[in-house]
Formats: sequence, structure tokens, C-alpha cells
Amino acid sequence: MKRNKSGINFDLGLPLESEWELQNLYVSVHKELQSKIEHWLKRGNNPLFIGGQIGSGKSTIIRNVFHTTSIKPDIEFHFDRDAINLSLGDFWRIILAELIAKALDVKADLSVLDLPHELAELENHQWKELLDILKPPRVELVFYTKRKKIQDKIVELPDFVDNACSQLLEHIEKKLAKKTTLFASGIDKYAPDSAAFFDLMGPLRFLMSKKTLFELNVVHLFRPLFFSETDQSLLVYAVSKNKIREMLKKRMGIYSKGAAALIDTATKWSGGNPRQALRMLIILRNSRGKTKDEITIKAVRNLFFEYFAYSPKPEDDLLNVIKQQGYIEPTLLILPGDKETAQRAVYGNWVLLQKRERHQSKLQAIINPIVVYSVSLRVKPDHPEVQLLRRYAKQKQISPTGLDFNHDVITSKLWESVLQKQFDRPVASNLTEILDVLESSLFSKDRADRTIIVYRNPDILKIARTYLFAKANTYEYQSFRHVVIEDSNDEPPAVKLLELTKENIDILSIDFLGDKWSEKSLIEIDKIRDKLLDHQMIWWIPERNLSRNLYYWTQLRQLFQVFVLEDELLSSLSKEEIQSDIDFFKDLAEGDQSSEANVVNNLKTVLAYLKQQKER
Amino acid sequence: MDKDIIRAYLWCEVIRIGFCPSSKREQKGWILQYGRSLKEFWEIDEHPFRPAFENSQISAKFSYKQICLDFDIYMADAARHNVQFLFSPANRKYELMWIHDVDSKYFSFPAQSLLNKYYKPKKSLKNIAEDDLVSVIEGMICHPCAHQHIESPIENHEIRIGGGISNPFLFLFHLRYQLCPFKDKRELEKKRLINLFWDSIKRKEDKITPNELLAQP
Repeated sequence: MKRNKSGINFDLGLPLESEWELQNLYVSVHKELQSKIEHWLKRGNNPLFIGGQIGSGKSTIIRNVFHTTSIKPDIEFHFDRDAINLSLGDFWRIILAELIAKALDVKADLSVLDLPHELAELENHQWKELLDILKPPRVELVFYTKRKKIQDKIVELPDFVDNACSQLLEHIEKKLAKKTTLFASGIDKYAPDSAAFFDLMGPLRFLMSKKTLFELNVVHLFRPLFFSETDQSLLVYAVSKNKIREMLKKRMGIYSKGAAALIDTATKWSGGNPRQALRMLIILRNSRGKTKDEITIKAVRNLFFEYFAYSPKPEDDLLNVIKQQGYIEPTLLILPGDKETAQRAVYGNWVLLQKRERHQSKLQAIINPIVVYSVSLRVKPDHPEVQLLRRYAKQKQISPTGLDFNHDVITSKLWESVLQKQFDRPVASNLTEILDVLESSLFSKDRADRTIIVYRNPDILKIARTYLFAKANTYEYQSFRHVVIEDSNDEPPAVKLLELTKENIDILSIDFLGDKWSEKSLIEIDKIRDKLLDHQMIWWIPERNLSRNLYYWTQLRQLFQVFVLEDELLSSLSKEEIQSDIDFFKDLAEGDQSSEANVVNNLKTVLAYLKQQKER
Repeated sequence: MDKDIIRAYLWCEVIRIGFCPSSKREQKGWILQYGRSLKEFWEIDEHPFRPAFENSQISAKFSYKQICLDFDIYMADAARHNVQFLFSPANRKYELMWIHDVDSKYFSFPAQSLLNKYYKPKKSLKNIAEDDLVSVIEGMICHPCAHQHIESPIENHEIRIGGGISNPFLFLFHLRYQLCPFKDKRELEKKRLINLFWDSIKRKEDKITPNELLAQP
């Protein structure tokens, strides 16, 4: 981008990249973090994860380390520069294209590989032509059509592409006679529960087996894919006020003196987020008003609408707790289905992480100053008893509004005993606790409208689903229907889905049975997207099928949040918790035919599976 | 030949080829081009220009809030116009500082008609040396002989507003130069202008297009 040598350099908060930008606009922050990245670049062997919130300066810090050390990654993969609405085929194509480009650049011996022929029906020496299709030098329809054909193949055979990429990298490393350093950027643009992130997981697993630097959002670090690798992850926290002020001064160049007051105001409202600070300054400079306060209020309002108008809002209760405590518990970020909306709060920058205290698990956090007045921050959240009372009222079809009681007169214990009688909890274990959280996020009034639950093991799914369905109406009544649909010519799935949407059901649970659904059926389902918009649905799909389905659900995939059942359970339960549950269930009698014993037996099956997965 | 006479003719020639768009359409085009050039020339974040053309007159507003200054031009024709200078701190309402007014119905020293009587432009322009052009560009744009200083919030920013400039396009052009706070850029611009006018005069070109005149150094 064109920069002014001594004047104002404003932008939308793009990372600083060029040598000139890093020399003239960069302010040194997070030195410890930078030295860790530097150490990894020089001596690291395993992947490294850099996580930060939107606009926290991750990309700039990484670029600055590349600049100061003069060590650049051998190959860079940018997952956010290609197009919008990417899917599995696109992600593998990006990796393949960069690997081929590097292989050609270093003149690696590719004679033993048949990719040009296998992917694009070219002669085997036509690697340049294959690269042009994968990464077109210009926009031409012919490239697009050929690229689409390759992506169709990739989606059908992701394992083949995975293997091909490994071989390409081997040949590159052989030629370079060293282990390559890779850099995967732009992953932070994909919300962790989005369909696109699910598609991205396969390509990311490939990169995780190499020496790769990953640029992620903080919340990704708490996802099952990266969670077990916490020793290799670094967090980018908020920047101090002085540093923010310095950054803004540099952006104002020679004009900074005249804008000192505005820079101070923008710094105050930045919450330590450099991009937000810059945007606030730009808006402040364009706001008019009679008093300084009026100008600031206008600017804050404008920035709020710009950043948060389409950002799903986290629960007020969560924000209240963070406001009062000044920190967020990392465990909230790993709850299944984002039950407490903590992921949403952090991913959407509603909450800004300040720093992590040494030897403490807590993440210091503040409510983003821009949103603080849009949140109904109460002095005290409701007592848990009052919350339970309101839920109970709803269950009994009574309005919960205004329900309260005098705590001085009625003790909590009394209420606890009354309410416990209403809410039956036959088995209390770590696993059931997590399943309860999952149930609550799927079936409560706060649930996401459309969720795809992916599973690996059908037996585990069956047990978990039975448990969830049994609990579905604990707190509130809602009509619910579970349907199995198959790919069939007699009754096309799209037609069946349409019929179901005509019924008056609160939640539709749909099991997509069978593998390799026809392209026609999948595309037909995608076409009825608009008819599904008003319905709350949970779709159950085997993991092995989802990427292929999403490839054809070009429109639909943007409407769903996706999570993997086994991963949600695994990331929420530690080895010790699983073992403790197993020990707990050992004491219960076997062979009992009661329903409770049946539940216990089922849970034991799940625990055995989880234990086996953890030990892998 | 007398240096002063050569420079006098050169002065008129520079104005003629650089700052005399003839038709209303050309004048509007010049102003538009001028406004567009300011953002990059002053290295600011937004275009400071809001043109408002009417049928009979040209008016345009330029807001250079980075140094708290707006200036608005109202031009009935090339001989009758004014430029208003407004103190305009960020986020606040502006206040009028002064108006640079040109009204040709009043007498002023008839430099042009006297020069026409000598009628030696060709000979004079044939004999120009580079230092003649440097003097003319300096006195006309970079350091007008009679000028007013105004304060800028930027340190070491020397602004000299020429007091006797009656050509509205020249006046605007010299503001572009004077209000630019970058010393090195001003130096480069001076060199660029000297080269530009030198080449054009030597090639006997009729005019310099706004594109060339308002390019970046």
C-alpha cells in the first residue's frame, strides 16, 4: 500500500508488512513474545501457535520478527487472501499451490510425482501449467473451470492430496537439504465453530506435523485441535497505553502535535487494541460536535456500530462477571457449544484480554470500552436461586418476568431443597456435567439456530444423543422431533426437509444417514437454504462425510455452527476426570435392569472410548 | 539584455502557460485536478476538497484540518474572485480569519500592458538562463516578495502567503506549496517546477496541462 513519507498514514488496520512500514510505523511491543518467536525460528522443530484477538497486532509482530532476524519462512500459506466462502477444496489448493511454487522455485526434482496428470490431465512435466490453474496469474474463465475440476477431485480424495503435499515437501526439503519453516496465516479469520474452520482442520493437521508458525485467534488455542499443544502456544495481549499513544503519533506523522488531544482520547477508548485505537482516531477526527464529550460520544457510537452491529452479543451475565472480577477463566472458553458465550465474547472483541498473570490460569480481561455502555451491567447478577426459579416458572408455562423472593426471609438451603426435588439428577459425574452443559447449549432458549454436530463413533453418538434428548426439556418445554433421512430417489431429501419445515416444531433434529450422498441431492438441499432460515435445527453428520457435504452446500455452510462431539467431550474432560468417573461407576452394581443402571452402562462405554482417545 | 526585463517576460510566460485555463470548463477541470492533488501532496488521510460549481461562478472549499485551516475560493471570473481563510480546529466550528479579495475594476500597476508595449517577449525568452527561471519560480510561488506569515501547529513550518497575487489559479497553486509542511518535499517541488517550466518554454509549448502542473514531486 502507498504510504506517506512524513505525513498521515491511516488504513483499516492492516498489518505492517513492508520494510519501510516496519521501520517507520512500527512500535516495539511484547519483546518477550518476539524473542520467543525468534528463538523458535532459529532452533524450533515443532509447530508454534501465536494467538491474539482481532486487531491485537499478531501479524505485525510476526512480520517484525521476520524483518529483524532476516529469517523468513520458506513457504507461506495465506488462508485469507484468496476469496470468500472457502471450503476444503480451496484450503488444500492453497497449500498445494504454494508447495508447487516453492518446488519450482528451488528446482526440486518432481519427476517421480504424477500430480499434473492426476489432478489436471496434463503431461507430467507440466508443473507450471498446474500451478497456473491452482493459482491463476490473472482472472480467466478457463482457469476457473479447470480449478473447479481439481477442487472436485480434492474433495473426493483429501487423503490423496494430504499425501501428495507431504511428498512435495519432502522433495523441497531434500533439495534445500534442511527442514523447512512454514507459516500459516489468516486462520484467525475463521470462527472456531464455523463450517469453514471445520474444513480447514484437515489441512491444518497436515501443517501441524511440520515446523509451522500458526497465526490464530486466541479462542482457537482453546479448541480441541490446538488445545493439547498449550506448551507451544503464545498469546498476544493488549498493548499498554503509552505504546498505543506512540503508535498513533507515528500514524499521524508530522501532524501529531495538533492532534494530541484526539490521540489521548483514542488511546483511552482503545482498550489496548491497536487496530481499534487507530480506527477510533480516524472516526474522532471526522466527528463534529459542540463539546469534547459530544464528539467522543458520537465517535464511540459510530465505532460500536461499525465493529459490533453484526457481531453476536455474549450474555450480559458473563460480561457482568468479567467486569466485576477483572478476569476470565480459560475453562469458560472450552465449554461445549460455547455454553457461557465466552468464546463469542473473546472472538468478537467484546472482551479484551489484558495479560495472563505468571503461574495463574486466569486471563486478565476488561469489557471493551466501546461496548461497555451497550451492556446492561448490573451491580450484582441474579442469585442462582432466582435464576432457577425463573427457569422453573417457564417450565410451568408461567412468565418469569418479575419473579423474585426475599433472601432475608427464605434461605438458600430451603430453595435448594425445593428445587432439587423438581430437577431430577440421578447420576452426578464429570461426564454428565459436560453432557448437561452440551444439552443446555443445544436445547436452551439461547441455543444457536442451526448446528451441525459431527461424530466419529456412531455408538458414542447414540449414547450421547439419548442422554441429551432425555434431558432436553429439563428447564423449558419445547416441541422437538428427531428424523432420519437418507439419500433416496423415491423421496428426495430436500423434499423431505421441506415437508418437515411445514410442521410446527421448535427444534428439528435430523440424522443424515449413509455415505456418499449424490451431488444432486446435496445441491438440492443447498438450494432450499432460504426455506430453512426460520427453523432451529440440529443436523447429525458423520465426520468423514461433512467436508464433502459442505463443498456442495455453498450457501448453507454459512448458516451453521459446527462442532465435533468427541472433541467437545475430550477437550472438556481431563484424563484424571475421566479416570475418576470410571472409578466412580465401578462402585455401581452391574446387571441391574433399572433405567438408571442402563444410563450408567452407557456412560461407561463413553468413558472407555474417551480414555482410549486420550491415551492415543 | 537586462535581466529584469527577461525575468519580467518570463514571469508573464510562466503565468500564461501554467495558470491561465481559458474556458469555464478548463477552469473547473483545473480546480478539480488541484483538489485531487492535495491529499498526496500534503500527505494527509483524506481529500480536503469539496467542489461546488455553479453556472456562473466557481466556488470550492478546501479543508486542511490537520493544520486547522480551511480556505474557500469564490470566483466570478479570473479577474474577480476572493479566497476566504478560516481558522478551523478539528471538531469545532470554523472562524473567519481574513479574505484575499481581487477586484480588477480598481487600478493596479499595469505590468502586462507595459510589457506589451516593449514587445520583446520572443527575444527575452530566447535569452533566459536557468537562474532566471529559479528567481521567477521562487518569487512567484516559493517565497513571494510581499507576503504574510501565519502560524501553523507544525514546528518549523514556514508559511508565506503572497500578498499581491491576482491570478486565482496561481494563488491556489502557491497555497499548495506554502501549506505543505515537508521541507524536503518543497525542495523537490521547486526543482520539479523549474524543470517543467524550463522544458515547456524551451519547447515553446502553449500551455502546461493541469496534469503536469499538479503532479507530485
